[in-house]
Amino acid sequence: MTFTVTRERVVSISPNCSLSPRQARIFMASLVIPTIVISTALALAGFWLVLPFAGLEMLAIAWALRISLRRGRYQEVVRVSDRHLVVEKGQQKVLERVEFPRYWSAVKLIPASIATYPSRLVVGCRGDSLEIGACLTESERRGLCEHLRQLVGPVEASPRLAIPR
Amino acid sequence: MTSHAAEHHDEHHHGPEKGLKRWLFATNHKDIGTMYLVFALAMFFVGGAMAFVIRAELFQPGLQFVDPGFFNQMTTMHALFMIFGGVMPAFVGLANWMIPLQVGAPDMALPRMNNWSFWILPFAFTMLFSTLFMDGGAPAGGWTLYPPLVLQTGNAFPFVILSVHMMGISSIMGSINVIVTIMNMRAPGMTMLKMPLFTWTWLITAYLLILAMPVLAAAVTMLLTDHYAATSFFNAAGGGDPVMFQHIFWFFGHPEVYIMILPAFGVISEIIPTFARKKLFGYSAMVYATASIAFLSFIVWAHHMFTVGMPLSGELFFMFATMLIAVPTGVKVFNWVSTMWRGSMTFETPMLFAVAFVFLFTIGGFSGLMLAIVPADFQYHDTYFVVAHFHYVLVPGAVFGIMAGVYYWLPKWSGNMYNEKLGKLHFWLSTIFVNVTFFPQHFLGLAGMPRRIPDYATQFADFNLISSIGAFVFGLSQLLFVYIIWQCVRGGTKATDEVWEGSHGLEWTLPSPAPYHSFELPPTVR
Repeated sequence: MTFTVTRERVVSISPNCSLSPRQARIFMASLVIPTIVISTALALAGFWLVLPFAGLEMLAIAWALRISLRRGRYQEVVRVSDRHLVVEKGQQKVLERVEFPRYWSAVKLIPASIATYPSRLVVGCRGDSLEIGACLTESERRGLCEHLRQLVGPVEASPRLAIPR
Repeated sequence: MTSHAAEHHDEHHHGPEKGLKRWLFATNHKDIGTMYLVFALAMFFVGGAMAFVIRAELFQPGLQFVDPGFFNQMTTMHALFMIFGGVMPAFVGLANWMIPLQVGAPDMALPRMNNWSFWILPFAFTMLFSTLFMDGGAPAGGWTLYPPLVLQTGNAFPFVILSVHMMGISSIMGSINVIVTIMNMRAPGMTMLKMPLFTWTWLITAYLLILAMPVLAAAVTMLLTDHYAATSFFNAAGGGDPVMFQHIFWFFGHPEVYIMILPAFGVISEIIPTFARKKLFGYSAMVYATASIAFLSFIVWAHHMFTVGMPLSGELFFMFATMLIAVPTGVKVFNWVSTMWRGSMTFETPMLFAVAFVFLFTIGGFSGLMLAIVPADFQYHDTYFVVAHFHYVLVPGAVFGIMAGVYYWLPKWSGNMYNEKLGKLHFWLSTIFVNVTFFPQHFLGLAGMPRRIPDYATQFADFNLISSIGAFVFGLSQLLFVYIIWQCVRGGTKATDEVWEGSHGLEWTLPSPAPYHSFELPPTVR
C-alpha cells in the first residue's frame, strides 16, 4: 500500500497490485491450459464428469483474480486547497466525492478497542466524518494522518499551505 | 458518482467481534490461521486415537479388541482424518499466518472466502466422523475408496462422498486464496525470485491442488452415480473399468502426496538457514527443484498400481519417471546439507526437527525408490513395507515439518518464547519413538506381512509389539506438544522482534506478536 503527495497538495492513496493485466492473463493461462489438457484427456477416456468440476474451478479462480485486480485499481484522492478539503473515492473514475470546509475540518486517528486491530483515519467537520486510508497498513495510516494534520490544520485554523519538498 | 458535503459515520470501534463471534466471523488471516492450526491439531488427535485402536489390536497376534470390519474402518478413517483433517489444514494454517507476512500483504486476497473455506471443514469432518455410528459403519475399503469394495459401504457411503467433496471445496478455496495473494499482493520489490521458499513451495502446492482436485471430485462423483444412478464408469458388468478408478484416483493421489510434503520443504528451507546462520545454498535451484517435483508428480501415478497388470512399456515408463523424482529431491537434500556445512549451527527445537526431517524423510525417499522398482514392488506391494515407507514420508516428513514450523514461528505469533527444555524433550521423544514405531514395519513388510489386517502370523509378533509400544509413546508424547503451545500462548519470556539470531525475511521485521494487518514501516525487500 502506498500514498503519494504531489506538489498540488493532493494525496493519493491506493493499494498495491503486483500483477499487471497482462501478467494476470499469463498466470490464468498457466492454470487453464494444463487443466484443459488433463480434463480433456480424461473426458476422451469416458470420464467426462471431470469437465464440469474443472470448469467451475477455473471460473472461481478467474473470479477471484478479477476481484483482486479490481481492488488494486481502487483509489482515494484527498485534495487540500485554501478553502476546501475534498475527498474523492473510486476505481478509474470518481464514484464518491465529499467536500468539507477546511477551516472547520479535522483529521482524527481513532484507535481500535483492541490494540492489535487497525486504527481508523477519519477526516471530518462538525460531526460529519469520512474514513480514508482503510487499505493502508497501520504505519502508513499513521504517517498519512500526520501529513494530513499538517496540511489541514486544527479546527478553526487553516495554516498556509506549503509546497512539499 | 455520489457527491455530497459530508457523510455521517459512526465512530464506533471496528475491531474483532467478542467471544465466539470473533472466530465465527473471522476474516483476519491470523485468526483464520490459528483456527486452521487448532483444528488440525484436534484432527491429529482424533486420527491418532484411531491409530491407537489399530496398534492396540496389532499388539499381539489374534483378535483382542475390535472385529475385523471395525479395524478396517479405523484404517480408512485414520488416513482420511490425518491427510485431509490433519496435515493439509495444518499447512493451510501456516500459509494463512505466514504468507501475508512474508510477501508484505495486509491480509489474504479474499478474506471472506478464507473464512468460508475454514468453516466448511468442521462440518465435513463431523459428517465423516458420524459415519462410524451409521448402519453398516464407516467406510472400510481404505482411503483410496477403490470400487467395487467401497460400494459395499452401508448408509455411510453418500455421506463419505459429500464430506470428501466438502474437503475438496475447502482445499480449492484455500489454494485460490493463497495463489491470488502471492501473485497480486506482493510488496513492491518482492519479485518472484525474492520470495521466501515457504511462499514458493505453497505457490507450487496451490497449483497442484488446483490441477488435482477436480479429478478427485469427478472420481468420487462417478462412484456415487455408479452406486445410485446406474451408471457404469467403474462397473465391469456395465462396460466400465474398476482399474480406471485406480488410475484416476492416483492421478490425484500422487500429487496429493506432494501437496503434503512441498510446504514442509518450504518450512525446512526457512529454518535451516536461520540456525546455520548462512544464506540458503542454491535458492534458485531449490525453486526449480520444487517445480520439477511438482511436474513429475503428475506423470508417476501408476507406480501405486504396478500389480494391476499393465504393459511392460507402461511399467518401465512409470518406474523411470518415479526414479527421476530422486534427482530434484536430491538437489534439495544436498542444498540443505550444504547450507548447514560450516555454518555456525545451534540446535534449538525447530532446528532439531528440521535436521531430523532431512535425515528421516530421506529414509522415506529411499524406501520409495525401492518401491519404484517394478519387480521389487511386486514383492512389496500391499505389505507393511509400503506402510513404513509412506509413514516415514508423512510423519517425520510432513508432520515434523509442521512441528518445526510451529516451534519456529510460535514466538512470532504469541509474543512469548516456548519452553526450550520441554521442546527438546518433545523432539527426542517424538524422534526416538517415531523410529521405534515405523522402522520395524520395514522388516515386517519384507517378511511378507500384508497391510490392513487385524490379525497376523506369530512370526510377525515381535516387531508388531515393538511397533505398538513405539506408537503409544509417540502418540502420548504429543500431549507434551499441546502443553508447550498452551504454556507459550499463556505467557513466558517475551520474544524479541527478530526472535532468532539468524532470522531473515519480512515476517521478522514485525513486532512480536505480529499486529493485525500492518507493518511498522513500509517493507523494503533487498
